Amino acid sequence: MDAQETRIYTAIISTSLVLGIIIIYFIISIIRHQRRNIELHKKNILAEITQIEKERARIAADLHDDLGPLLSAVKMKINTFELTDPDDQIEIEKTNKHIDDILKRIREISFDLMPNTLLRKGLVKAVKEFVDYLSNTSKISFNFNFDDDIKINEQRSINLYRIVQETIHNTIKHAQATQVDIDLRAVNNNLVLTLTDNGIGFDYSRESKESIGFGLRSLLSRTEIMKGHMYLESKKGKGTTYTFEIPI
Amino acid sequence: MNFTLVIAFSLSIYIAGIVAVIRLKKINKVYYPFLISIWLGCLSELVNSLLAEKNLNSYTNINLYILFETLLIVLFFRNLGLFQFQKKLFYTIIGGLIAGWIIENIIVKQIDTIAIYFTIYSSLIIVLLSVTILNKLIVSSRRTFITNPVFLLCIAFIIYFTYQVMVYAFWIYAPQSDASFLLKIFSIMIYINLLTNLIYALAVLWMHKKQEFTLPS
Repeated sequence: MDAQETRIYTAIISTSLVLGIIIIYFIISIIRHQRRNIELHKKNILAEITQIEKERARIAADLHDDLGPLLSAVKMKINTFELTDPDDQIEIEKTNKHIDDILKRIREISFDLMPNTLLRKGLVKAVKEFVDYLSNTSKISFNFNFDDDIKINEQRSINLYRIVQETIHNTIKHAQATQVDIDLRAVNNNLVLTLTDNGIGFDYSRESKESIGFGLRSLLSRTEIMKGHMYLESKKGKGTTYTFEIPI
Repeated sequence: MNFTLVIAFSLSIYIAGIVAVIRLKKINKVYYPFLISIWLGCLSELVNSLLAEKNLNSYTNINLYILFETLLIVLFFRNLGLFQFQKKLFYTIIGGLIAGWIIENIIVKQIDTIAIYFTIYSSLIIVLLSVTILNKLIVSSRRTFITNPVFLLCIAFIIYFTYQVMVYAFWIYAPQSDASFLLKIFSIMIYINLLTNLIYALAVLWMHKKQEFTLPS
C-alpha cells in the first residue's frame, strides 16, 4: 500500500470502529430503556388493576350485604300491611315483584363485580359457575375442561377469571358463536388458558393494526402483569382462539 | 486473509438456512420472505464460491442477489405491518428499487460489473425501514427484546447494511487500479457478514408459529 492507500485504509478502520461503537451503544441503550419501560408499565398497570379490583369488591360487598338485606326488609315490611282493598293488594303484589326483580339484579351485578365463589372456592369453581349461569341465559353452549390439581393464588385467580369473563363477553357480543370451549391446563411450568369459539371470526391482522378495543387492551394488561403471553388466532368464518400462557 | 477462511465465513449463512429448514413448520408465515432471502443467500454464496474457484466473474450473481434480497426484506417489512397505512409507499419503494437496479445494471453499466450506487441506495432503504420497525417495536412490544426475532433481524440489518454503505462509499473514492487494496477495504464486510449471519441464525431460532398479541402502534 502506498501512502494515500494507507491513509484511506486508516480512515476506513477508524470509521468502522466508531460506527461499531455507536451501533453497540444504540443496541444496549434500546434494550435497557425497553426493560425499564416494561417494568414501569407493569407497575402502573398492576396499581391500576389492584385499585379497580378493590373498588369492585367493595361495591359488590355493599350491594350484596347492605342493599340486598335492606330491600328484603322493605319487602317484609310491605307484606305485613293488612289491606282489604283488592286494588291495594294488586299494587302490593306488583311492588313485591319489582323488589324481587331488583334483588335478582343486585345479585347479578354483585356476582359480576366479584363472585363470592372465586374468593372462597377458587378459579375453577368460579368459572364453572359463570359458565353454568351463561349456559342458562344465552344460546351458547360451553364446554369447560380443566386440570384438577391446578393451584393458583388469589391475585392470579382474579386476573384469570376477569380474562375468561372479558373473552366470553367479547364472544357473546361480536362472534355470533354457538359453542365455546374453555381449557385450563398446566403445561411445562405454564398455566395455559385457551378459549375457542366457532363464531364468525375476524381479520385479526387488519383490525388489530387499526385499533383494538378496551376489552382486548384489558386482556393484554392482565396477561402482562402476570408476566404471561397472549395469542389471538382468528380468521373470517373460522372462529377465534384466545390463548394465555401464564408462568406458574 | 486466507481464502478458505473467507469462504468458510461467507458460508456461515448456511447455519441460518439449515435452522430455517428444520424449524419451518414451527415458523409463522410472516417470516417467510426473510427465510426465502436466507435460502437465496445460501444459493448465491455457493455459486460465488464455485465461480471464485474457477476465477470467473461473479458480479452478475451478486447483482441479482442484492436485488432479490432487498425486495424480499421490504416484503418482510410489509408483512410486519410497516406499510399498513401507506400502501402507496410500499409500491413506490419496490418500483424505485427495480428502476434503480435496471438503470445501473442495464442502462448505465453492464450487469457483470459492480453496482455500487444501487447497493448503497438499497442498503440505505433497508436501514431506514429497519429503524422505523424498531421504533414501532419500542412502542408496541412488551416482550424482552433479546428473544424477539424482529428486533434481532432489524439490528442485524442495521449493522450489515450500514457497514455496506460505508464500505461501498469508500470504494467509490479508493484508487480503482489497485485490486488488492480494494479487496482489503472489502475484508471488513467478511467479519460483518459472519456476525450478521450468526444473528440471523439466532433470530430464526426464536421465530414461532403463533404471533404474540401486541398493541397497535
